[in-house]
Amino acid sequence: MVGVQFAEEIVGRPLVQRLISLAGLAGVLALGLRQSWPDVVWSGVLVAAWLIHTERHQPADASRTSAAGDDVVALRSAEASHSAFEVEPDVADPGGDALDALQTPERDATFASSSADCADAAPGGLDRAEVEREIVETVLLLREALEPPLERTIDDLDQTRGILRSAVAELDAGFRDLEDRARQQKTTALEVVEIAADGTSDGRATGYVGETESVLQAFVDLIVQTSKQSMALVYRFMIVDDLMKAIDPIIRDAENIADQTKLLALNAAIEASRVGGPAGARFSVVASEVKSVATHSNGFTKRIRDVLSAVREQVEVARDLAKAGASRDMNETLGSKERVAEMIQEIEHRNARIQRATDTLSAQTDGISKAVSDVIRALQFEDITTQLVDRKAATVRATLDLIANIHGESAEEIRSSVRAFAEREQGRRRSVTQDSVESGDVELF
Amino acid sequence: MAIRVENEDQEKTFVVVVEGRLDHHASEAFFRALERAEETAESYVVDFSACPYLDSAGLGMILLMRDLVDPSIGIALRGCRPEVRRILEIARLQETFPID
Repeated sequence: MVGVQFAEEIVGRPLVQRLISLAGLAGVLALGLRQSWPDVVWSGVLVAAWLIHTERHQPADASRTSAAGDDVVALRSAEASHSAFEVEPDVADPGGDALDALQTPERDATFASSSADCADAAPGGLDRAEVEREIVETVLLLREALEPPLERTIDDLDQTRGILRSAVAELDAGFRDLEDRARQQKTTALEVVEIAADGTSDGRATGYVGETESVLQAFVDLIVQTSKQSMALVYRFMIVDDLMKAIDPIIRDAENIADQTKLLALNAAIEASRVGGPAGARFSVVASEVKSVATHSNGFTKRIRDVLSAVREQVEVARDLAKAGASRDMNETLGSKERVAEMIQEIEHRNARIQRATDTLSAQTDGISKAVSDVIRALQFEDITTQLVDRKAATVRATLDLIANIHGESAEEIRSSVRAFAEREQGRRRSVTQDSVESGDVELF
Repeated sequence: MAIRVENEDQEKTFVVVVEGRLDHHASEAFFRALERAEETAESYVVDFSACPYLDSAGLGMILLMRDLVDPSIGIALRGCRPEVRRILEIARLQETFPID
C-alpha cells in the first residue's frame, strides 16, 4: 500500500505538515471508498496503525488529535464521500475489481515489504511483531467502531425506503384525486357558465328578448297600419265634406225657386183681385195654392239644409276622432325598442365575454390535468429511488459482512480472512451480476 | 305647421315640403297638397328638412300617400333629420321609400 510509504515519509515532519498529510490520507481513504471496500478497510487499518505508532513514540502534543479521533474523521470523510457518489452504479457493487487486486501475490509482497519497512523505519524502533500486534488490535478496534454506524445506516435506508414508499403512495393518491376534482370543477364551471350566458341552461333568455323585440315590432306595425287606416278615414271624410259643401248651392237654387214661386203667387193674387168677379176668384184660389207650394218648398229646403248641417257636424266629429285615433307618439315606442336592442346587444357582449372566460377556464383546467398527470408520472421516481436505496443497503450489508469476517491473531490471519471473504463475495457478485443482467436494468423515463 | 308644394325638374317632380310637425293637425293640409300635384309629375318627394318631428299619423299619411298616388309614380323622402329618420326606420318605412 502506498499509504505506508506515505506515512514513513511524513512521520518525521513538523506538526502542520503532518496534519496536512493526514488530510491527504483521509482524501485517499475517501477516494478508495469509491473503488472498493477492502481498499478502504486496508487504508483505514494502515493509517490507524501509523497514527498509533506515531502517538506512542512522539512527545505528547495537545494540538494533535488521537488516533481514534483520526479514525472517526477518516470514517466520516469516507461516509461523506460515499454519500456524494451514491448514485454511481459501480459503488453498488460490493467488492468489485478491487477484490481481484486484493488477491494478487504482488499485493501481498508489497504489503509485507511496506510493513517491514515501516517496522524498520519506525522512530520508536519497534520490531515487526509488535507492529503487527498493534495493527491487529487496531483492525479489531476499527471493526467494532464501524459495525454500529453501518447497522444504523442499514436501518436508516430501510426506514427511508418505507417513508419514501408511503409518501409517494400518498402523493400519487392525492394528485389523482386532484386530477379528478379538476375535471369535475371544469364540468361544473362549464355548466355554470352556460347558465350564466343565457340565464337558463336552454338559452331561453335570449329567446325572451328576441320575442320581446318581435312583439314590439308587431306593435309598431299595428300602430302604423291603424294610423294609415285612420288617415284614410280622415281623407274620405274630407271628400265627404267637400261633397256636402257642393250640396249648398243646389239647396240655394231650390230656395230661390221657392222664393220666385212665392213672388209669382203674390203677383197672381194681386192680378186676381184686380180682375175680380168669378174668374178673379178662381184665379185667386190658384194663386193661393201656388203660394202654399212655395211655402212648402221653402220648408223642405230648410229641412234639407238642417239635416245636411247636422251630417256635416257629425262628419266633423268623426273626422276628429279618426285624427285623434291616428295620432300616437312614436318616441315612447321608439325608446322601448331601442332599450330592447340595447339589451340584446348587452346580452351578446356578455355572452362573448363569458365564452372567452369559458375558453380560458377550459384551457386552465386542461393545463391542471396535464400538470397533475406529469406529476403522477414523475412520481415513478420511487421505483428508481427504491432500487438505489436497495443497492446502497446491499452495499452496506456487504461491508458489514466484510467487517464481521475480519478476525485473526496476526496480520496474516486477518489478510487471509479478508481474502476469503473477498473470494466469497467475488462468487456471489458474479451470480448477482448474472441475475441483474437477466432481470434487466432500471428503465429510466 | 304648414305644407307647401313645389315643382322641380320642369314639373316632373312634385315636392311636398313639410314645415313643422307632421301630425294629425297637418293631415288635411297634407292631403290638400297632394291634390295640387301636376299631372305631368313623374315622381313625388316629401321634403322633411324643415320637419322636426312626426307621429304615427304622419307615418300613416305617408303610407296612405303611397296608396293614393299612381303606383307607377315613385315617392322618396328627403332631408330627414336623425330623429325623423329613427321614427321612419322604426316603422320600417325604409323598406317602402328611399330615405335620404
